[in-house]
Amino acid sequence: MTIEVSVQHRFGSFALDMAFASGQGVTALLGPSGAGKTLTLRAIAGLVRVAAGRIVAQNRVLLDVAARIDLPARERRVGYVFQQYALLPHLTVRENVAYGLDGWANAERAARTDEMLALVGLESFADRHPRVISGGQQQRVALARALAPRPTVLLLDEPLAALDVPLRRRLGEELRSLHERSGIPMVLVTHDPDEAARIADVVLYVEQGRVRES
Amino acid sequence: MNESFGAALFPIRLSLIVATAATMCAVLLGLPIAWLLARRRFPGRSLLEVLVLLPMVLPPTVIGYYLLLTVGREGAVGRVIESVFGAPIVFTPFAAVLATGVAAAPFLVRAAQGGFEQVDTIYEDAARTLGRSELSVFFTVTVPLAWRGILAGTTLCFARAMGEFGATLMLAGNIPGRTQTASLAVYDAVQAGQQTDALVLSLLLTGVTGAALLLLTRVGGRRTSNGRGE
Repeated sequence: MTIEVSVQHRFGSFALDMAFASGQGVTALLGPSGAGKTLTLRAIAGLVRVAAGRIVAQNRVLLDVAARIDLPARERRVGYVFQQYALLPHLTVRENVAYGLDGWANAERAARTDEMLALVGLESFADRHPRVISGGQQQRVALARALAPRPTVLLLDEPLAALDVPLRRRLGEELRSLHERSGIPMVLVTHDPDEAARIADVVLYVEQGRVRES
Repeated sequence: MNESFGAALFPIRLSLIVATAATMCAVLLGLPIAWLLARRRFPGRSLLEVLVLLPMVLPPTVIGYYLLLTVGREGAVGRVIESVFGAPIVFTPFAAVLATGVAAAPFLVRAAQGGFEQVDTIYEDAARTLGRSELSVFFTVTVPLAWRGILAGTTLCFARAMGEFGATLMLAGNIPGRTQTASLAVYDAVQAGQQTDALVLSLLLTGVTGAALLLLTRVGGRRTSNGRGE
């Protein structure tokens, strides 16, 4: 399996106890809000500490609490597309996409940035700031930015929720084709069953902090 | 009038140097503290917050007195300074910088902390998932997004530093040509009945601090008015 996740933690009265494995395809975590889907993504990305668990992505151990392994977020090589995209408002589209390529040589960074901008069709918006482009374009920038440093897995938190309904369907298809072109395994969080069915290869139903057995 | 300008030159120049140096120290030490208070929960956090803010409300003479107890010739730190540098720090321009810095730094910390708190942590999280270290996140995300709070704090800190009187008097004294800053010189001029000197110094002080505050409202206000917060 490409990604193996097992995380346990108590947040107040909420108990998170997620365990799942997924392959090269797109896995959807489907469930109502408050089920612990976003929390699971944050745990995989290393943005939240959990009491127990083990996370392996492409044979790299990101977390193994028992073995005292807990890579910081910056070393996990996990791409993350946030629900509101979290594009850095003080940087241009191009600077946002290049932001994760800090250690790269200038020429390679520029080439990779161009490649990513072309992948999502935003070359002509490269010098704009995030707030002056549309929601759909912002989402594409967030995708390009997350994919640029060649992550081992891409996490998407409600990637279409902030968009209008017509746009949602089109960008859902784009997401699917982006997955096929980039070959990067994706874990997608959504509360929309249709969306999960359309985009994902495997759908896991999450309820009250757990994957429901089906 | 010319004579008064000549007499005002040293105190005003000293005030500018002391206030600038104190503001720079306050930024270097105060920004990390402001960040800690805005972003981290740790034991003693409330105590640190109170300690940082106390100089804002304490009488400046009390601040100066505490500093005297610490870095004065009889103070623990003062003895170390004297044995290292061969001379006491009290009644030197460095003492003026120290006293001014302590009295003015809370303004910087307060405003910068507010600025940091207004930065959504989601941006910092995004930067972390993109491979950036905590230091890099701070300088490329947190500071640029909190710049207005930091600028407001720096300006207020500088303005307060230009007007510092009590703590400086206690720790650095009022030595003309050595530690007599503009605000102290105004006091001396009035005491000595030199009304023109007092007026010239006061107008200069008002001009410099007023210009600093004008800069603050111009830069801060222009960006706010069009709703573009970055």
